[in-house]
Amino acid sequence: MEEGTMTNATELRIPHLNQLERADLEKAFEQAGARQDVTFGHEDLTGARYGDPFTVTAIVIVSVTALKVLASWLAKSRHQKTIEQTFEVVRKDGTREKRTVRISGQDEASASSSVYEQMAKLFGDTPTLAGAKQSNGAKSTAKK
Amino acid sequence: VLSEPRAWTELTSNHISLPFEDGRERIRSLLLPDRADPNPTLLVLLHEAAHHWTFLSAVGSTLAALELRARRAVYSYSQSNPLSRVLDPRAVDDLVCFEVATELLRPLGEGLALFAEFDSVPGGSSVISRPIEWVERLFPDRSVQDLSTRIRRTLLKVRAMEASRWRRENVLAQPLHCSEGGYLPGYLMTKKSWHSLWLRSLDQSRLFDDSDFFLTYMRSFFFDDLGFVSLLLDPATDRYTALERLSTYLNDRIVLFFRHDAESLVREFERRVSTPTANFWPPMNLSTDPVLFDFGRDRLEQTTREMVQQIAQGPENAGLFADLHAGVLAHRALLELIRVPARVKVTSQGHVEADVDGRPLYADMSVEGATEGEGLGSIEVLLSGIDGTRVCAVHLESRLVSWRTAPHVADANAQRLLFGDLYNRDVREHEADRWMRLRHRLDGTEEIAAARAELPTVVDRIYLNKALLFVPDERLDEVVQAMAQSGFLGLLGETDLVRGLALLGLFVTFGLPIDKAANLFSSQGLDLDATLNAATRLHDSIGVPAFAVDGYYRCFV
Repeated sequence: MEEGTMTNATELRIPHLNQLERADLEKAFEQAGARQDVTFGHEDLTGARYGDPFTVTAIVIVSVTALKVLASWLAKSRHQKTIEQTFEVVRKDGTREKRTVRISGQDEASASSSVYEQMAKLFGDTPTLAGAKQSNGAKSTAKK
Repeated sequence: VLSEPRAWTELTSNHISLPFEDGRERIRSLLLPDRADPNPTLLVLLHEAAHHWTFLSAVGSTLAALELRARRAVYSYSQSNPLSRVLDPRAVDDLVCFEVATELLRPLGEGLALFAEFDSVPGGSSVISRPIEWVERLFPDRSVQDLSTRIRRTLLKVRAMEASRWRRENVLAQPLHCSEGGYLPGYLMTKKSWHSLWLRSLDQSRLFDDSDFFLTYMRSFFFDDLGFVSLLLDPATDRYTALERLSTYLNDRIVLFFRHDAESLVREFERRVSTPTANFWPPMNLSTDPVLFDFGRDRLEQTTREMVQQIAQGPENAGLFADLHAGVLAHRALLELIRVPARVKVTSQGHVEADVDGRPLYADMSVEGATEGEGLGSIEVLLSGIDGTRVCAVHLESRLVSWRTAPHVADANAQRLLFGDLYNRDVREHEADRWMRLRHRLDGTEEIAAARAELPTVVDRIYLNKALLFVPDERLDEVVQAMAQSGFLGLLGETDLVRGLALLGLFVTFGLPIDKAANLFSSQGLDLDATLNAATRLHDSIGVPAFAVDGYYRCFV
């Protein structure tokens, strides 16, 4: 992986994406040369159940590149003043937690940077990420 | 878990599962409907309510009867002496028939539910579809007296929300092939048939201007079709012939729907459906062969009589079978909206209180025979599919301890009809698990495996060309290929164009005023001009119906 894999968290899961969000996210990872770092899954309806069309969950292998792609994708997809996205963080020890990223009232570039910072906080104890952030000159609130 | 749980409705029990994340808040709003603001939850409810409504039909009831008959045979087999037992061969016939019909009808059922969600709006006829009527009871707008006007206002408000477009664009970008649920082909076929019937009615009744009337008519045409019922219950429809017979009939029936003389039927249909005291049995014959129609009526009546006799039979069938059949049959008319865990207390004075997250949500008298106690239980909201009565029920552990209705139900027989199943909920859930285990043992049956293997091709053959009826024949293969994986995204190439198309089509019934369209699009970050160009391209190249007329944009996708 070009900028190193996280040492603590292994996966981010983004639930409840529709088909177009999936396509946009897939394209963003492809353009960053990291298509292999994202996969998608969905729940099937079994038996004689009719119901809602399926949405997908994106499963992202965490890396600096992946977080940047996600931050940029979220910032780009915003057309309202507020972005709110819930992630499920899966850590190496198998524990999971839900986290929500929120930003409001910024242009696309600032929004991307803010989202990145908030997501980086989720992995703030990760040396690889801290080093990579500094080398990329991004502001970080995740330093200890 | 790979995804958020999906909302669904199960055909046999007609049980609805609505996995709202904010269940506690939702139950508050359902209990206090005057305070509920319409929101996109309404669309999820409309979708599942439409399934519930289609399953509460002659065809839905017949399929439920087939599966219950098979269950009964399999239970008898599993409980009898292993050395001498023989499985009633009709059980496998019934199961194959049930499964084949369920899959053949799936795109049609999803198409109707999506039409209810995105397109149905009461108009000039006196008919209001059941899903719209039920949901209106949950989100009433008290500021407007006229029912039709207030429903239109509520629907317009909700469909203009970005979350509604989000749900619709997800449909337009679904795979075209039916093996992925049949959403897109079913929806496109429904929209195209509405467009065809609407065009033909323009210089006659104009009843199909009313999209909600169209929904009601189409649902009856297919799901109250006693011709299909006749075939399902025909002894000649067995494990070997079910796929061929049912698929041929359904294909012909869909072709007939596009071509039949609806004008000669719609006035009588409207009159019958909108009469409050109408006798719903037998349903009106909508272009079914009269002989087949009579056979269907007689066979379903006979099957129902047999089931009632089985429920009432002696000790060998008492207990589980009786509870199962009675429970499932009673439950089919109850639409369970939501259930959340609660802290429940029954006092010695016969008073019941239920708290959710420490907040008191319910206080009323207990049912007769409820014993004093306190502990974990649940509070749930249900709706009667027969008359729309809203029911709130409280259980302490698994015992029903209190309920109330709106409006109040005083008649004892009506109460039994409403609540018979609530007492049997545990039996139903236990039985459903048990049935799934037994059912899996039959999956290896050769005939069931054979039918399953052939089904996807057959279902595609029925629906794809009807879904794409607007496409010229010479371009059909090319369009099918382009839409195979991601529907309209495969045709348009850009996600924002599909989003725009989804938004434009949400207003096909109301019409999107040309002077307001640009604002609506920009409020959702979309480009109106680019979307209109894309719609024009689709219209010119493959005939997608989209146009501007009388100051409104209308797009039939």
